[in-house]
Amino acid sequence: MTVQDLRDVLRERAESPSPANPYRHDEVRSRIRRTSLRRRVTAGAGAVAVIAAGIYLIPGTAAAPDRDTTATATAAAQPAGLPERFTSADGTEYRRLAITTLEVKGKKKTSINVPVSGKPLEVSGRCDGGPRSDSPAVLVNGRPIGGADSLRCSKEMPLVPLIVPRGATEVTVTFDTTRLRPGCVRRTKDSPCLPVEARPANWSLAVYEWTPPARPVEPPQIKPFPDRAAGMKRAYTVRGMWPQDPSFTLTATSESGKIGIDQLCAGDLASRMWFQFRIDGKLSPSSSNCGVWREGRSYPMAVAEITVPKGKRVTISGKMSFLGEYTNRPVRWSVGVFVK
Amino acid sequence: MARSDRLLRTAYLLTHDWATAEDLLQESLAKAWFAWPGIDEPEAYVRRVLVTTYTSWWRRRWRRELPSGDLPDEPAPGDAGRREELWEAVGRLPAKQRAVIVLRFYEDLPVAEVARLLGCQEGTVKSQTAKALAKLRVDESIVKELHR
Repeated sequence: MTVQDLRDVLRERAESPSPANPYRHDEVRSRIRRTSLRRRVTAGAGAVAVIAAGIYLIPGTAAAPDRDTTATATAAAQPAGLPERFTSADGTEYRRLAITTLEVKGKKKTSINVPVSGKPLEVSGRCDGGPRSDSPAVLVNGRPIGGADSLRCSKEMPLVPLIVPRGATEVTVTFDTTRLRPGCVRRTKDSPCLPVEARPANWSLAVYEWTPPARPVEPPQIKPFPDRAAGMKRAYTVRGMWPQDPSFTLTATSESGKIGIDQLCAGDLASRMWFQFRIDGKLSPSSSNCGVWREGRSYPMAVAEITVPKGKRVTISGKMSFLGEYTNRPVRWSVGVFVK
Repeated sequence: MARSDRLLRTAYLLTHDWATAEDLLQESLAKAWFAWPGIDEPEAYVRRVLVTTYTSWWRRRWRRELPSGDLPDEPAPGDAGRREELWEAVGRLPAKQRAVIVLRFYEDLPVAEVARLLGCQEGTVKSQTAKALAKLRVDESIVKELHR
């Protein structure tokens, strides 16, 4: 027997159908009353109010758990790092809806049914590997989700938006480590191209929903761009706030024919912003997501270099988009333009 | 609501009986009610009350249980049989060891949290876990997280 067998037996037993007790609430109330009498404590109006506050702990029936807090594959496990509830840095409340696991020597693909209440959903995962460990593909109703591929094995708790079909009331979220890594690698120029080496890891995975803050939160200030980066001098800085400021336009001239462009964002969801740049109307390959400069004095980003006609004024336009929901969680953004 | 459903399931793992589990849960919720104004984490608090109530009940009311049974030497014929025996063996564990097993391997709580819930030292949790696993004939050598 292994510990996994023990876990399985405990879960198997615990998740067997429990007898319904629609009177539990009343029975607990009676116990409280009896105990109060024993303690000769007068039950007053305040007590009634406290009972009301405690109702959410006291279900009507154990056989039919609240639909919006359960999922088919909800395990009782509470792996470290995937708390049942937490508050993000900007004060947003997260609540775990479902949890599951993937194992190197066991389950490599799992699906959970998640109720959709209309609140934004996100997935998170913790793993026992390293940053290069294989990540599970995330699928909603069998279709890969854009952006969710960035679930990475990290010391921090990654959160990736889970975009669900419009109007859905329940979705099936699948985590799958069996999907082959695309591509192959050559160790030397002439060596055969071999499939990317597998780096399996054990994963604990959870689906969370968050409640949009009542009012827009104030994102932190962004550190200013350095005066020089990548051998270029900063010429312009444009700042704004998503979603109020979804685009910008400026003109610039570079005598050398090189322009550098980079973007920084601040806010809990900063890394989900996506920038698309056009130079004189032509889409630039430097389009990318937004960098977050949290610590360190030296500029940590790599400025994207764009070739433009020497000495000619060009129009740089930027259009922002966002992956997932952002209600009342704005992101402060800043774009720096460097010239040589 | 789902919270108390899960607490009921934890209670069932401790008591091995749904009726007793319901009784234990209701008693724990009623006890928690009196401390309600000062509770920061209701679920964690009720879980703690549930476990301590269970161990105290076991001391008072369930002395007739004989927590000495190990798994029989003869292996059961099939996987289902082995699981059934394992479940029964969990039921024969002393209250504190059973609580440690449920908290560690069902609730997946770390040693420090289990120690806090049971009001004992972390070393006690580790030794109780080891003793319980030995009685259940579970191979603890593969448990990386045992001393987490």
